[in-house]
Amino acid sequence: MAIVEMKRVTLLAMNAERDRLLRVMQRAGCVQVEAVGGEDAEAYLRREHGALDAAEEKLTRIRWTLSQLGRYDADKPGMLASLSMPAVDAEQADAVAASEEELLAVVSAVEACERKSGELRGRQARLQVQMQQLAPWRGLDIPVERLCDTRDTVQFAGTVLGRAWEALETALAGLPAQWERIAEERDNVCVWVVAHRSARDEVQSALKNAEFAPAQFAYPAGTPAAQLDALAAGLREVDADRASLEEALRGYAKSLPQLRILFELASQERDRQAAAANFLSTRSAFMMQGWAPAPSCDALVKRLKAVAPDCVVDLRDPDESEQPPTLLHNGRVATPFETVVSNYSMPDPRGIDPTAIMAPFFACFFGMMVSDAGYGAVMAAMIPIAIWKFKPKESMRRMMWILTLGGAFTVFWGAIYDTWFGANLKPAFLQPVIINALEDPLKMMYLCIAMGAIHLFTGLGVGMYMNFKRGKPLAALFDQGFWFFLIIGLGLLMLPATATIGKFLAIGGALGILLTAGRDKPTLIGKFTGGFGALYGITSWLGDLLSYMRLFGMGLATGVIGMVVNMLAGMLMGNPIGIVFGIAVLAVGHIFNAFINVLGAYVHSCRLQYIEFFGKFYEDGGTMFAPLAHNPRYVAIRDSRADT
Amino acid sequence: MELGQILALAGAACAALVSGIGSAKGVGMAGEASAGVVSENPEVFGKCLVLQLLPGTQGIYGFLIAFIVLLKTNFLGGMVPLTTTQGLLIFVGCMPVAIVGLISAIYQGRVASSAINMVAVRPELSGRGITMAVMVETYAVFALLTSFLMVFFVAL
Repeated sequence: MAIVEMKRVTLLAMNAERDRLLRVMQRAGCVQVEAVGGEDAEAYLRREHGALDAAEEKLTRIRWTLSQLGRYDADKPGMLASLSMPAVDAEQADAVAASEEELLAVVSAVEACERKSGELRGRQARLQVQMQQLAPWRGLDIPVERLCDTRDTVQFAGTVLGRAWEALETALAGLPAQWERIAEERDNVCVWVVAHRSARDEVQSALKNAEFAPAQFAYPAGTPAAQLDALAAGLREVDADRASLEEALRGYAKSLPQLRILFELASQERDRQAAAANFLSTRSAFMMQGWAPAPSCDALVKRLKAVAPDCVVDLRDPDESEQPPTLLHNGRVATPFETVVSNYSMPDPRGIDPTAIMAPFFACFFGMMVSDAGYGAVMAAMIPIAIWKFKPKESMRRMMWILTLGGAFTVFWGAIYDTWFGANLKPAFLQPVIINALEDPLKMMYLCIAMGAIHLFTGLGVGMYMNFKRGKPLAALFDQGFWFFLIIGLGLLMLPATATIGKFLAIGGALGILLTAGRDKPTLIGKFTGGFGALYGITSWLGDLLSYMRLFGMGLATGVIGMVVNMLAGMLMGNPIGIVFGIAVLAVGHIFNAFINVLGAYVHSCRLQYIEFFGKFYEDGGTMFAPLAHNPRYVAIRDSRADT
Repeated sequence: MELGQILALAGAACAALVSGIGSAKGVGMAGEASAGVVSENPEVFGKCLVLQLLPGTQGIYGFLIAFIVLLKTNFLGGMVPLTTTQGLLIFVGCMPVAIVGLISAIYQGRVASSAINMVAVRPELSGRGITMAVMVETYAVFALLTSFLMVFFVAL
């Protein structure tokens, strides 16, 4: 229910102990390392980052190898199993660290395979192009090395334009020449001409008129047919090479589990080096500055001193000007909702943590928008079982808990709206509280507006509490109290019974706001215009209240779609075959309806918190606490041994 | 069916239909931006999803007014008879939410797309992006209110 207090940590130690201290800090996972500011610091900042660059490069290579080998993975986990993070213990990790050389050799081998594969692709492309060029010449049975000029003759082999063929024949007819039409290829014709030397120029000009282009042969010797066979053999060789490469990669894929562990180790190394890049150092000592949560500080200092007794750790509270990162801490029920808060923006560290007070409203509005007790029961029952069975990663686990709590509220609201998998069951014991959206929509709309008013008043109340906590009770009265009077007064004004009280409250509130809202402005006119401007905010209150109508709209939509699905299935259920189709329609329709509406309910609930609720009191602008820690991506390494 | 009834129903249809088109365009535009951003940085998907959904409000408002009209004319229980004037009044009353819903949703979609692109570079500013997108909605709210008052208080 709070923003954890942060302390500025400064650590001074000898360079020899730097690695050990970094490892301890990473295992503790509670220190966010920051760059040290100030001009004096510049002189001591290490310029060369060789170790960090090397660690980064190693990590990139291993990551690339994992992605290349991924498709050869023999035991690929299914979609559900990949929700959880597998874990290994420290001994396995040590074994992998010991065999790092061999594993990096595997990485190099995979990189070589990729290069070879690229070369083979290039070769294959070239061979295919050559085959395509040579294919029409299969009919020419002269070896190409004999296609040159002899003592008395000249030879030409090439392509001419198809439409110029007759003209060419006519031109060659009168000359001492022999020609043969070898093949057609699209709009070209392959021709071979042999002529007496004396007629060379005429033949050449006749050919030129037909746009003659000499043929390109793949090899300098052999008939075209033989050359084509050689090319085909070359292609078969390329295919064989590629197959053997695939085999090799499949073999390397057996090392995938160890490569994943190596990735985690390399990633930890890289994080340590990145943190160390912020240290200031001399030849023999270094200094680190950072933030740590106050409750963890004592344990942290003990661990650091156990490893390096000579180090000096200094803890102090943050100054007015410094902005520590924000870490939220909430009870077990509210903690999953921290995701909702961080999706908007982290609170200012000197502000308030809204998670605990937002959580019930979030779940309640979620329930009102999904509004089908059947879907809610399924969510509230099945998701905890899934969590227990699949042990998902942290971010997925939080989302699943939010859906579970939302599902619980959905059962409640679904019972009130009398929607059970789209059907109106009308159970007797719920009769007095049921609100059927289609028969009694006004009642439902008033309910939604009333929930909205409660939400907004709670927001205003939190703002008031913040003012009291900061020792500004008058501000609480001026900024929040008068608004309470005004809105409640306007509400009471609508009802005839309380109209006079309402009138007085409203006028009192409005006057109060008018006179006090601009109290910080320097001039008298400024104070009044500030007051008017704040009073104009009454329109934004109206807009906020109307925004809650989405609870009505979304709730109604789920119910109506469910009802339609049931009607469709009912129409099919006439005969035995129809029953099968009907059940399929029911299953698909309700799953689709649930999915769409849960997604919409989640996002609209978020939006109601962010705009209407947070708008009344929230101070954003914090940054998330990002400590130096283990952040496993593929495999978690469980190391419970003592620090060394 | 009399002309008045047809006009009233046409008004309800327009309210839902035109503002629905606007919301679809707005949300779709923001969805395209979101796909581009998430392709480079999958971690910001949650924030982009919220921003993408913001232009969807106008469709809900249009649906609401359509529902109010159906309620008022008791369409679900056999429609009440309406004179041409009454039908026309209801039709005109549906116009604010329809037209303002269409145009404001498209513009809100543009703001949401820009906010999504902002979140790509600075994820911590998603809250401010959401606030920027919601500013456009003020006018849709006013239109909703106008339509509601006009439709609800037509004398039948």
